[in-house]
Amino acid sequence: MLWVHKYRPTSLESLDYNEPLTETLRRLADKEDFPHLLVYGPPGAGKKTRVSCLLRELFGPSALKIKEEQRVLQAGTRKFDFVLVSSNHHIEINPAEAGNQDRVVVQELLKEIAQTQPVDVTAKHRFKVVVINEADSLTRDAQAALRRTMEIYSPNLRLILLANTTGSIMGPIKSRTLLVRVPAPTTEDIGNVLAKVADAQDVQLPQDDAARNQLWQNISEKSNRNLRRALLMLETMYARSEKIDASTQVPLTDWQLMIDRIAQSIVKSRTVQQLASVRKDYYELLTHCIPETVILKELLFALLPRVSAVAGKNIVDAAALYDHRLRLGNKGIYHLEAFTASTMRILEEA
Amino acid sequence: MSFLFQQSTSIKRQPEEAIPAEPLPKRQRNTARSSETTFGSTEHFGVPIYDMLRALDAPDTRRSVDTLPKTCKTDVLFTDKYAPTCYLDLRGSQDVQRQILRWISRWRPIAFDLEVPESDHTDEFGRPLKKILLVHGPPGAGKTSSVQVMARIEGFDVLEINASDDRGAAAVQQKISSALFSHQAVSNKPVCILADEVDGAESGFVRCLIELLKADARKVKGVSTKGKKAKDHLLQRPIICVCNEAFTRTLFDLRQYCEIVYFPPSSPNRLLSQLEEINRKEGLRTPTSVLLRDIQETGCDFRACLNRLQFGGDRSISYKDSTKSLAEMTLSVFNKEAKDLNLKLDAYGEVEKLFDSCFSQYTNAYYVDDRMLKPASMGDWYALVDSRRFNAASEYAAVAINHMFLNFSSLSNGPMKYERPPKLFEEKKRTMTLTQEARHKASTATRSMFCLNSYRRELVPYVWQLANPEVNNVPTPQQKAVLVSCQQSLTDAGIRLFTEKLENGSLIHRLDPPINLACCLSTDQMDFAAHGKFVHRSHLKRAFDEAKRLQIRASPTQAASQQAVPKPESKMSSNFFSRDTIEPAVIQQNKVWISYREGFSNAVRKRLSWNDMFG
Repeated sequence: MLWVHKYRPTSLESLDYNEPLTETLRRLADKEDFPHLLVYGPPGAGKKTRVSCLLRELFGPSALKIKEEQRVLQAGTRKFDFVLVSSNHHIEINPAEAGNQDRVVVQELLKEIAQTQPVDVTAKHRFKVVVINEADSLTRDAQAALRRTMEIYSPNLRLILLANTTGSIMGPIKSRTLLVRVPAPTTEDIGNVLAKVADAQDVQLPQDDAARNQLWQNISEKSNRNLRRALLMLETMYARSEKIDASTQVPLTDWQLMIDRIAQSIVKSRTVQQLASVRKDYYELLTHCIPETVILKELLFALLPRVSAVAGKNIVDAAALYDHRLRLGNKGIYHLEAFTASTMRILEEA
Repeated sequence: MSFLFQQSTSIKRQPEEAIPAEPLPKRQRNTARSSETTFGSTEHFGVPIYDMLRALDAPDTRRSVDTLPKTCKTDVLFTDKYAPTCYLDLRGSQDVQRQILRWISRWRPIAFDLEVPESDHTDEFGRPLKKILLVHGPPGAGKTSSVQVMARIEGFDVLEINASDDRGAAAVQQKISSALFSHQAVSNKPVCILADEVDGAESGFVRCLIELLKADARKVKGVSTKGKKAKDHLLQRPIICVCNEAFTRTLFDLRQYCEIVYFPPSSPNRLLSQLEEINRKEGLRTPTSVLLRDIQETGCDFRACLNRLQFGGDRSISYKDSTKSLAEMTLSVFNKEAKDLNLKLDAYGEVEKLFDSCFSQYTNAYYVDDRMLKPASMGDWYALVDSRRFNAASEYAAVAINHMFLNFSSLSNGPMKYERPPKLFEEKKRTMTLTQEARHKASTATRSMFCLNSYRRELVPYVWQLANPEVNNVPTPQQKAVLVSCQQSLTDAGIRLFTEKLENGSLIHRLDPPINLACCLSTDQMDFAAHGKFVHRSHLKRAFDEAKRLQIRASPTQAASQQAVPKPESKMSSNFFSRDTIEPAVIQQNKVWISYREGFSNAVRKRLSWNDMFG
């Protein structure tokens, strides 16, 4: 099993950090009634882990016995397949996978679930829970469909929405849910978790405490305090290098390395030839399904440490402008190139 | 030798059976008859070697320059006219052809009631272990036509089911079962089903095929089904599926039953020589440079090249076309001398495409610039072109292109080389389906933890690195633990290893699904990305095999059968280097198996006995 999977906490007691939040969740689960939740926080902070622990607290161990189902949904005349993960007490859906048809998923599935009530009268809770992943990528239509469903079927349906930010979730839904923020783990938290896993897996670590802390520091920095990524990094380091110490290079993904190279080359030389070669790299990234907005963001943060403060401010301005245009249009390569060209111009002028 | 011989006979006869309309050259027909009269029957003696040699010459005489008119005035499409009709016409590499032929030939025993030869690669009826052949490759590589010819060579009639027919489950069910399980009245040859373009098929079709295979498996096992569904048939005819992309979602369930063959496009050189040959025969006088350009632009698509050759046709005469191509229009935007750009733009319909093409071209242009000012100023124009307003009022389109002209045109841009904008969409889609596919194979828990985006961007790159664990030639105990951990992680992420033999006989271990395509960006190390270091991967493969063995042992049905055989005990001992080794227990069996490197180019194969070796 992957380490991220193997050492994932399955109950509220075994959660490693954010103690006050854990306490809040426990209190929520203990009460008779349970609100709709909107859980948000940066990627790899442990949102989903916390939600599955919460479900276990609510319904007992059987909530962790998940299986997969494939449904055929009808959108107008077109049929499409949709995969959902479910247990006896909850289902987990990812409407973003249905693309523009997410409204249909929300309407059809939720109605179907809400209209059946568990027969078991002795059960502690009479409602079912629907976990919606990536709720911030729900279209407006889908959110509107959700809004009414939350009220009508509230006797036997509770929603848990998972999102990175609350920005793109509309007001009416925010007002119907209890907002729970899961902050990213601190470097210390990450160090503790990694040390625990390393111990369980018998990874040979540097004996010296300072070196060890330096290692955790490196991983935490490179992973952007994303615990999921940090664990993957540790596992990769374990497989790829004989001995792990503070000087061991933290493995990055190919696409991150490529964006870093792009930033380097922009700062180094600013010619049209450079622009053409950077464009080739952009195509390479795009064909590997790295979204334009992600490229832009990573590139910006790779550029900033390499340029002066004044130029930096202008580059951030440009990035904001082109990010906006990226989201409006659908020809990402245009705007990426425009961003590159204007960055080069800014650097030339500085 | 006998294999080769039989093959050649069918080569020779093939043209007669496949295309009765086309008359064979007289010489050949005469010899065929004379051999009959001389020896009574060709079946006893096979075909004389000189006949075979003449047959080799035959295709050339059949289509020689003399027999055809100088300019072709028939209304036959080149793609039909030059479709392969016999073994020698086949395109694609030899080993692929052999692989397909071998698979089809394994159906001969059951289809023709022949004796079943003993082999490790077939089941008790002599059929291949995987009952469906899935041929995939890019369009225009010659998949469909080659498979048709090969099926005929093996003596089957081809029944083609393609997207033009109704492919709902019921219709297909009826069609297939009537073809598979009953004899045809018209010809007495058995039928081979060729399902074309299966990746575009409805799921009903695939389900129907799987149902057939399951029924077959039940029949073989002799399990009686209760109730209405008592009719399980033994599959007696080959089914071949052809598609462009074997890793699509629709084919997911089917793939485990399939022998998958990749049909690569022909090499540009080979394609060029073929095109030139046809060009000469048809007397078209298309210059080689145009043929080369066609090949490049179509990406080695033979069918598209033929179409261009026929209908782009006599380029030497009608080259001055009134409508300009995209390339010419693009170049004229960068040429300061070009006059009436606006008039041309009005005449040219697809302005958006033109802007796209200008965008990928402008970095090659020469122009006067002050410290990147001009490229930076284009940003706003891109925004205009890429906005909804632009689609609504395309009169503004010409303005954006005019701006390109103002910025980037110069007098020295005349002989600029034109570059096509890359095909982003298709490539992107391929990566998309690949990762979806891989994620689908992962365990449920992993899938619920990683949504598609984080699976693609976070998990896949690291998992690829886990597939290349750093171990010595002889792994230390610590490294063994690493291997086991890597194997478990890979399995959890839905990745397996499979071993492949290259043409030169060396082994490589590839990843399945090939996630290296989705996560490895630097193109200079494609081979390493695909199969890593041999030592690392083979140790990992061993870990996989070990895990599989343990799993089989753990499963209850196997355990029962294991108990029946007394397990021979193995001894622990230290070897010369004082490492712990397990001495394999001696199993009392008489058979000795020797495996040797077996490649595709084993022209002569001979049975050896022990006496041959010692004596």
